[in-house]
Amino acid sequence: MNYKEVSIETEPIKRLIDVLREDFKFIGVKEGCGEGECGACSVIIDGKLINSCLVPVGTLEGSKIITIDGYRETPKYEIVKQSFEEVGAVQCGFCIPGMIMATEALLSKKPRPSEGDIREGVSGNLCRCTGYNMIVEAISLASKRGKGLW
Amino acid sequence: MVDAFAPKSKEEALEFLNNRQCIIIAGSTDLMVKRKKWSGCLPYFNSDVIFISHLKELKNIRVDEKCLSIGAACTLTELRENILMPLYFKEVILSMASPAIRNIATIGGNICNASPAGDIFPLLYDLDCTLIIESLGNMREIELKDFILGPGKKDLKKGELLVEIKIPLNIFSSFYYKKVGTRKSTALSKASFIGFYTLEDEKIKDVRMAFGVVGPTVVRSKHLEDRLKGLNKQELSSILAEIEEEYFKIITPIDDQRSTAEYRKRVCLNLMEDFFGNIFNSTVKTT
Amino acid sequence: MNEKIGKPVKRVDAAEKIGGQAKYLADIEFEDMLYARTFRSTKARAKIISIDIPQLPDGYYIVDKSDVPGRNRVKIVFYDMPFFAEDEVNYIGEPILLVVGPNREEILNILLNIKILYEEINPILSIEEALENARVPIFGENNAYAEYAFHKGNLEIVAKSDAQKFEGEYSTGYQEHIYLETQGVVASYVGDIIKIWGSMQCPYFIKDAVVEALGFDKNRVQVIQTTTGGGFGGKEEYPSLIAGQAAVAALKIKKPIRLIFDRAEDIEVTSKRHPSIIKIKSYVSFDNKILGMDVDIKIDGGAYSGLSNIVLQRTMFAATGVYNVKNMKISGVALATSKVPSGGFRGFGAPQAFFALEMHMDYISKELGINALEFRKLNILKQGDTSSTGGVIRERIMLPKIIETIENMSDYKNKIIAPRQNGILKGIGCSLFFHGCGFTGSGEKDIIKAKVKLLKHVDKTVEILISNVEMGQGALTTLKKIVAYTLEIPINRVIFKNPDTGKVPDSGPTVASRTVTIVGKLLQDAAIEMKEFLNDYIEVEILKQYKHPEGFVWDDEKFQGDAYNTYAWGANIVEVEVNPITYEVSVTDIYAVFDIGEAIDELIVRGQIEGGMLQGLGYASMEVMQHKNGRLLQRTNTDYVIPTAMDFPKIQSKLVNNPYINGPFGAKGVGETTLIGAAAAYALAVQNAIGHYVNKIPVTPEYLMEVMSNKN
Repeated sequence: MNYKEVSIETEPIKRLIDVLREDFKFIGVKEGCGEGECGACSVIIDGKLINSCLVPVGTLEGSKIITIDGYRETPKYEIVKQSFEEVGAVQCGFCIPGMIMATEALLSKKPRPSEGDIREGVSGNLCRCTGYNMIVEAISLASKRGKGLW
Repeated sequence: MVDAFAPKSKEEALEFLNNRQCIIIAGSTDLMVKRKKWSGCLPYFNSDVIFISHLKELKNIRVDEKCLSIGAACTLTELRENILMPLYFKEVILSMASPAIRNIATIGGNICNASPAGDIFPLLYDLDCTLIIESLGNMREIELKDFILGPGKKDLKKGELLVEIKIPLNIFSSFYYKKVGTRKSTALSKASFIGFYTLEDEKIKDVRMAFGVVGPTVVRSKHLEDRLKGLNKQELSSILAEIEEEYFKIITPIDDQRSTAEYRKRVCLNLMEDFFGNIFNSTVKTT
Repeated sequence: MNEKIGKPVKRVDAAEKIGGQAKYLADIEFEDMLYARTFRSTKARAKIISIDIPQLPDGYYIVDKSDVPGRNRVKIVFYDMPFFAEDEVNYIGEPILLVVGPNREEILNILLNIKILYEEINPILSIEEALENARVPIFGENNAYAEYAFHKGNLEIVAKSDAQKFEGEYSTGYQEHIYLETQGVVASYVGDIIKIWGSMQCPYFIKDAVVEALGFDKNRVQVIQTTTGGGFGGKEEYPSLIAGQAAVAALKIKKPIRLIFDRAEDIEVTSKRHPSIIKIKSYVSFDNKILGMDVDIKIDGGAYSGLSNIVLQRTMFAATGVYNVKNMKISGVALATSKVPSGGFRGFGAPQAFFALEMHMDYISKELGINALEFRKLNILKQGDTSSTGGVIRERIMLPKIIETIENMSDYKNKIIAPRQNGILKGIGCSLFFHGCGFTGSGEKDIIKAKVKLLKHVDKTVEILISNVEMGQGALTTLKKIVAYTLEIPINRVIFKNPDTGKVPDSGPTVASRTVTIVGKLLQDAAIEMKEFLNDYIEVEILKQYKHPEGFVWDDEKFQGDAYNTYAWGANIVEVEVNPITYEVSVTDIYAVFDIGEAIDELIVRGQIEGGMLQGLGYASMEVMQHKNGRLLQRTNTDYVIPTAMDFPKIQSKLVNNPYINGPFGAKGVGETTLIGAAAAYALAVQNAIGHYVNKIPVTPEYLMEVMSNKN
């Protein structure tokens, strides 16, 4: 969990989002809908972008989980953060941690994504404030700035 | 409290299933939504659960001379990224849900959900796929169209586990796919159509059409398809109106919160017409 | 500072939001906190005969109407909505009581076991049924929350003349805000003080409502805004309801009470944009000038009045739009129906008005056989003309330049006459609109009377003390910029914390696109006064109160005079392609040009343009919300769909600004202007593509199929 080995004793069917927020206090993971529709709860599990509201924690034995709370300590995060700040891509911010995780998942697979790739990469992350275009630009900027990191 | 079991192998899973009434959880993308209570509360499961999405035996994808076999616990993303999967499969998968959901939703889970809105079904019906179902000491093969009994209903007995999906290998001249969703991504389908055809000597050698979300199960008529086999361009054009009338009778959508029966029906027929227009590369009109 | 204020800076709240460190309400832990969940009506309209509460375990409570010590009515405008239902329920989802306790599973269990007996009453389920008034009215004598009319000139003479007549009827549907953070409050009762934390737009609205619910002295209620994940008007008046409920519970139980909605609950029961039916009759001279307009407006207010009368007013004042119409009759009624109460939503009636009007303008031009934009140009308002309510437009109207700019950006002139290519249905549509900035009429002067404080600390930092909130629109940054630039100090020397009514004066609600124009201006004035003390090591507090600019008058009885002191103006163009097989619409290009006075921050303005337009395009296209017998059919995030990153292309936008002399650095309002014209532009483009008139939104593929197969 966020680069540290952890263990927890809890109900296997407990939602990962509840384990993250309530047991580990990783409040960077947001609940926007609980239905897997909005992506605000996105985390990265074993390199894959996943909605934590959909995962029973019992399926994660041995898995590597990264949330924004851990990711923000990394050099890749710095590049993404600066890009989002410079482009002005953040408004109310509630969708943003999920967008950052989607960015990391996307750039890990496609370090130089096209605009279409980026839109697809965040297609499961809803935002109501920004209209997406500035987020898409921020991700594009991060991919250019982060040469060699991804 | 509910017991959860994470078996170490398929055998262990089958043993467990043999001994207990339980809910099988693969990707859990549908179950965790259906069973959701309040934020912070455990989802509602009225019996024990068994997790199977990690089982390696259920994650193979292989091809032999007759068919493509897909492990039931393969995620949609894994299918999309596998070189053995045909292009049309990848296109259908890309139209489903969102990246995060595709990363954990499994093909087996999709099938066992038996939702009339399941995007994978028209494709699998067109491909005449069969399912391998195992239980402790037993194995059976069943055609998908016989497995799905109605909305949310399937021919899966106690102790049984869907392990593999088998698709007879086929080479088609072309495929045509359209999903009409409520928006361009992360959308439930209002109606969908997938068609394949193969031409030989300017005649239709093989043609398959399946419509999704417009009936309790996928709408496909081998009988009507057979009527088109062997036809050339002119013959096809002369029988088209009649064929459309026949499909009109068997496409039976409903009104719901996503769309109307009238729209769904009209769009399916329009898509079919467009598909026919593509077969001999001309626009064919019917009344 | 010689640099233009508009030069972008890093938003002051961006870093902590990006890193997931920003704490929204659900992220804050309160010691000893209890959870609350609402028991709601399942009937659209009924008498409550009895409620049977099961035996409650220790530590669990029911909170209902009998626990309200003060007035069981939510202060919005009229006092018809109770905090907790009394003898009857008027919409599905109406709150009846709270179940409160430490364990959520147990609370759910209790909720399941509450037995309620209803005696159903015939609900009123549509505008038509409300007008018919054939059943027991929901409100007043005829189901009307408000009914208004005003005139200008002499429409009767025009109507009798031989002018060309055009008639149309247009309708708009619900819209749900889908702020990514759902509604929520936490209330505590400690040391005789009720404290409320929450996701909100208007701390003082909440304070006033809670004061009345509890019958407390004002100084015993304190409201603190928490970082708010979107509002869009949905957190304007609605939080007053849940804050009052939570406060009553906190007072009763004497522990912190957490009431946070799940998404499905939020979609189903919180306020929505008012659906509308608007009829327009126009009279046009033979040289294509609009001589008169008769506009009749009906909006669906749902089961309680809420803000309906004010939404109705704004709809009416926008009814004739950017056009110089010398003779008119504008009438409107806000009706009560047995459905979820409608409420504030970005645009506040203007999106409805401009949809109807702009569709109507294209209809007239099509019938006259002239270019739609040319017809508009002949009729647009100019400086010195009077508005629909007879107020003189004192400022230069940039519309000719705005139109020229957007025409060039989009090549509209050529595209609108381009011959149809076989099988491809392409279309282009252009809408023109304005938004009146600030509260209508004398609202700022007589009702809000905004007060701001600027506090210079001994360490030379300067603190902004106002009740307006950051909800994503950038207020934290723009207001700091205004103060910093005026004082010529770095932005990081300006402090602006989430408002706490215990510390800030009432500068009014964060609505009506007033935060920068009105409150920002007051802060600028305070900063100017503070300048001379800047380098002293003393604490200085400057208080500024709203002063209505000279010469602007408003008669609230007759609706005459200056409805607004300034307007933001805009033009939107949308290009679409309609798929003739599936009737789906793809937007290929979007253009937007605005006069917003001055950009306090260009990136923040662009963010508002991008977000506002997408929200307007969603309203126009995919955001379907219908009901059956009073129950919403689309009530989850799965079924009520909003745009994703794949649904719309890039937006090209430009600003053609005319600084407003009473705005800080010339700024007018932006927040709503950017949404108002989008739906009309979209519908006009679709109409142009399919060659059939479109009269309602959302323009769904189902509707288009109907329209396109109708041979008329």
